[in-house]
Amino acid sequence: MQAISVNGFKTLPDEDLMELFQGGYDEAYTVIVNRYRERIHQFVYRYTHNHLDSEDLTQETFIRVFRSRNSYERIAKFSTWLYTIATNLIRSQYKRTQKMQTQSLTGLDDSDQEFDIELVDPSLGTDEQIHLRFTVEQLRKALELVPSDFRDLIVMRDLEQLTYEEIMEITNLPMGTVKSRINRGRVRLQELMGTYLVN
Amino acid sequence: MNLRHPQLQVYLCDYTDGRMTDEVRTIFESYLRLHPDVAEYARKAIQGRQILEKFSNVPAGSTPRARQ
Repeated sequence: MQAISVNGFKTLPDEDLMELFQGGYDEAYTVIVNRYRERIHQFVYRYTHNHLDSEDLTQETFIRVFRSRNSYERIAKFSTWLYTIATNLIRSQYKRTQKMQTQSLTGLDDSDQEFDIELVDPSLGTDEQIHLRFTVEQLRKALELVPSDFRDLIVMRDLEQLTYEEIMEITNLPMGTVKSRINRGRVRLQELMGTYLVN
Repeated sequence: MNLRHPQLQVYLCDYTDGRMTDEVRTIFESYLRLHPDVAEYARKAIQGRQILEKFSNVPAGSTPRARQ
């Protein structure tokens, strides 16, 4: 097989990278990890509300990808397969701890403060930052009150921007149920938040 | 049509997401005008989606950056 540079890998679609990885090109795995690490970390964090747990689960997700690379089949979209692995790990973690916290955008514990400060947007004034922090906190609290069956799906759809097809595959729910729960989650959230953030 | 009707929920989701064709949307909006309870539900769903979408680019656990 002709040698392919790592730089060449970076432009390839996920599914091609997985085939290369299955064929023994470990560099393809590195590209996949770099492409998805942050997204998976954020996805997991929205459920665990804890950076350390999120880091562990993100690492475990990619370890599973590494170990299970030969079980991936190209008929499935890679991102769906990856999010399914992450979702299953989140569920397992939840069953273990029975204290999974809900979607969070802020609400950091003390150990997260440094991370928080580093990400302050310098283009925003102090008042704007305080206002945004407040509104995000309102959203976090509201999401905690949305039933988890609905919350999980609106997080996937409206925050993680997954497609309906991906959500169907991850949750094993039919399209009608996915859409119904997303509607109900959005409505419930609106009732909790009012028009606060829209206006 | 009952709000719990599965097909109505599919229509509402497509409407909320702006995924309907112009023709279907026009018909559906006519339906909404005749069913204010469903129209109110759709309004709330749209606002709920807007709230979430506004913050979809906020990294989890970070200071928010509102979508422009």
